[in-house]
Amino acid sequence: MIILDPLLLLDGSVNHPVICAYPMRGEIVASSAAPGFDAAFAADTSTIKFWRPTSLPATWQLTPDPDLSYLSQEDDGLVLQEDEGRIILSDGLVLSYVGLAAHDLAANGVTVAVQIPGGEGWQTLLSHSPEDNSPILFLLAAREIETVRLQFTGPDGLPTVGIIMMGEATVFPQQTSYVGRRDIFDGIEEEYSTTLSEGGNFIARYVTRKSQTFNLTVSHISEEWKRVQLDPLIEHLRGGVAFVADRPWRAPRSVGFGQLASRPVPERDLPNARISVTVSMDFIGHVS
Amino acid sequence: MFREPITIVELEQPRCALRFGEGACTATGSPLCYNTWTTCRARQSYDGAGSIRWRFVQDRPGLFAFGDFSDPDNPATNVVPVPTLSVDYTKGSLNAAGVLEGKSAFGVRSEVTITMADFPWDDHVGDFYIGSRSNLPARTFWGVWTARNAFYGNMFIRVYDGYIGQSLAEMRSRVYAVDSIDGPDSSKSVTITAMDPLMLAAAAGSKCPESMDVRLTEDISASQTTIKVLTTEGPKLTKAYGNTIRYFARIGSEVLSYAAVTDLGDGTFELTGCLRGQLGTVAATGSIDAAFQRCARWEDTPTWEIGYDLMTNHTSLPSHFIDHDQWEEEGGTYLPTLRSTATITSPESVADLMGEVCQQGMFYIWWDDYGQTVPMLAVRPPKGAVARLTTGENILAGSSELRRQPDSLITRVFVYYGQRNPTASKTEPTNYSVVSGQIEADVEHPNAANGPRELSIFARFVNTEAHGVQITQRILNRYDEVPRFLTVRVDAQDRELTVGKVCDVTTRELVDSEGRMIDMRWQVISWEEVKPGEVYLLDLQTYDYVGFFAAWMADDSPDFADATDEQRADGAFWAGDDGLMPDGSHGYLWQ
Repeated sequence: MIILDPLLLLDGSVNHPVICAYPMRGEIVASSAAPGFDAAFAADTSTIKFWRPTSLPATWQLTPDPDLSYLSQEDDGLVLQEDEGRIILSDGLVLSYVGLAAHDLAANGVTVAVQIPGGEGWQTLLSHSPEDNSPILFLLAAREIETVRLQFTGPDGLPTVGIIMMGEATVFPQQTSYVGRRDIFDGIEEEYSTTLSEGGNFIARYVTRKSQTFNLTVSHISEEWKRVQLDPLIEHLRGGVAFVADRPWRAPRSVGFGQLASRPVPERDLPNARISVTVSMDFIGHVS
Repeated sequence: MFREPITIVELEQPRCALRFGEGACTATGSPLCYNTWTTCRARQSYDGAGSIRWRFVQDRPGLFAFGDFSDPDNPATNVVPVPTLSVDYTKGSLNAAGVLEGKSAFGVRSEVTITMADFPWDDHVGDFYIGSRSNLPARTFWGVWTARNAFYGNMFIRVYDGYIGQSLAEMRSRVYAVDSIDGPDSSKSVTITAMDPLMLAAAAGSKCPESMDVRLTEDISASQTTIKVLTTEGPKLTKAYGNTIRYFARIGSEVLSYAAVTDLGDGTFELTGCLRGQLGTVAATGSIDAAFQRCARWEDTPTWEIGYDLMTNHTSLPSHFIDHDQWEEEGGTYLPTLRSTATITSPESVADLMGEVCQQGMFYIWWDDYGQTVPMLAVRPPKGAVARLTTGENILAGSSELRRQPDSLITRVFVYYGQRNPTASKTEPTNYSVVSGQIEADVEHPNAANGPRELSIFARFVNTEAHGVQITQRILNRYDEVPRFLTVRVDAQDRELTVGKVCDVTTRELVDSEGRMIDMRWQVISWEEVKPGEVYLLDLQTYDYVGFFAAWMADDSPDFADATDEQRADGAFWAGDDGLMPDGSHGYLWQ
């Protein structure tokens, strides 16, 4: 589920597809962590390591380290500076997304809130009580931050979270094509089998195979955007994971978490450098 | 409504409970160990009380945070999704009812083969010293695991099967003893082969009595009552092989007993209070260096108890797999009169001995996959309600197959008992003082089986006529009609029917002489997962018994007509002159 910052509704690109990668790195502090379920595991992109607190309410806080994180992107085409393999476009740690995946918040009736320091305590920017265990993506109005935390509250059950990512979202300059598009959650494929008795009765039904693949195709991208934003993003996603939302405002359930299934190859469809590039990206999604 | 089957594999391995260089651990140097025997740098300090359970699942959607790290010395990891993980079973089978000659008491062992691809691993769990290591290369799980574990003794595989949404505790689990681990090979594939734990009991090395190197230190006379022996295996001279107070042993063809042992030093032991020429053998002289072998002897012991002793004290099967209370309840209820006095004078495999004990003790054992025990069941009618399988609700379309096995028909049984000399051949009829038998003449009629089908049993564990009669009667009850075998496939709703369970089956293959479907009682002798969590294959054998087992009832018990079903099942009532009860059922048998 996508939870939109109301401020984004004033932004004309609120329905443009986003890819949320480039995770911030830094010091992680949690209110508690069960043995074997360290807080740092949630920042690992592996979905076989998890954080689990020992009591609620619980908090998971990240104080990004500029030397370890991807710094702010700017969309006016500044010259890239490459330093130690990271893309640095300007100073400042900018937060515009928080993503959670590989979690069981819904199963435990847990509410999660994104908070930053405010006043004498913490200010809640957005909160969500999920109804299922699908990926959660908070999209925020971009702001520079020094620290950010998630607060988990609930009646009893302790949540388990495999992925927490925070950073600046890459917003595509165009919307996705409507015709031919399918919602990301529709990409969950299932195969079934049914047992039938000798007497012709249906006995039981089983899901024998389940997987998720989804696609993001965007056309009419400029050559400059491709060079400044798309090429570094593709390079990053070769080894990274990302949250992907194709129509955040109109399709708030259409969000996935996963990895590229193959390296996308941008192509040129039109003889106009401002709208020439089309890219199609196939992802393998994680299904909880 | 649908369910998503899931199979989780757990590898449990022992580990050292100490910490490198701390406390009782005297290890030094580098690299630091991984708490395994292979990587231990101070094996004299090794404490194998620790363990770790590695968990894997086929790469599939889901959240598998089932790790248990509450005990740092015995953690269980979260479940790791692994590409190409597959679990294949070779189904085992029960050697049902009476344990026929030529078939092991343990039946056919079930085996599981697990194959999976190797995967990148960072030791984030399982390495106490990860923070102290530096410059570690990129590595894979099985690559380093096999380097850290060269031996697989005391390792077990546990296979959980259940459905998405269940906790591990809610899933069913089966345990197997690891036999081998191969790979990773050039395709990065690893194969684990494991067998059900009865393999540990059926292993060729399990013998009773044990082989031993014990020799006379000097010539002895036929009347000598103090004897000296030389051995490095002193404890075996007084180890319990059986239940006698005196110790029995064999020199040549003579069996003797002795009362006490004194250690004279330098590997020499003195046996005192010797009684020569025991158990029908003749006292004889012995030469220096002659072999001295302990014997196993049980006196007036329930036959099933001998089986328990063999399994728990003379094999490497962990004793917690055998529930003595269950064996005692079963044996005490249905086999109380079957008692044995027997002597085994040379090392024999426990598997072979159990074959005799089960056959002559009228019980059978098997590995209960999900109970994870070795239950004991007497050869008897089932007690209480049993499951029912019908074509309408249970048996899957096109899956039932009926076979008959006329070669297994038995029409006459002879039991040779009262062994004369335990050192002579056990299959020589003249070595037994009595033969007891029964012939089903009607079945041997030319218009029936047209001839005899004979089973002879050389019963070292039988000492009384009553015991012999029970053996012949129970075997003929089960095998004096052509045994039938039925194979069916059922949905997971019936997956509780595993090996040993009894059920009533109604299927189109089973009809009376007028074509009407009939109810028949069957026993599951083999079981297989066709599709884990979905479809199961059952091999069934007819389970025919006539009559009920009788038990004395209280004075104020009601008559048969007024008795409850439970009272009728557990008690006994006089039958009519025709051998039938007022409701037409068969009468009770006094044993």
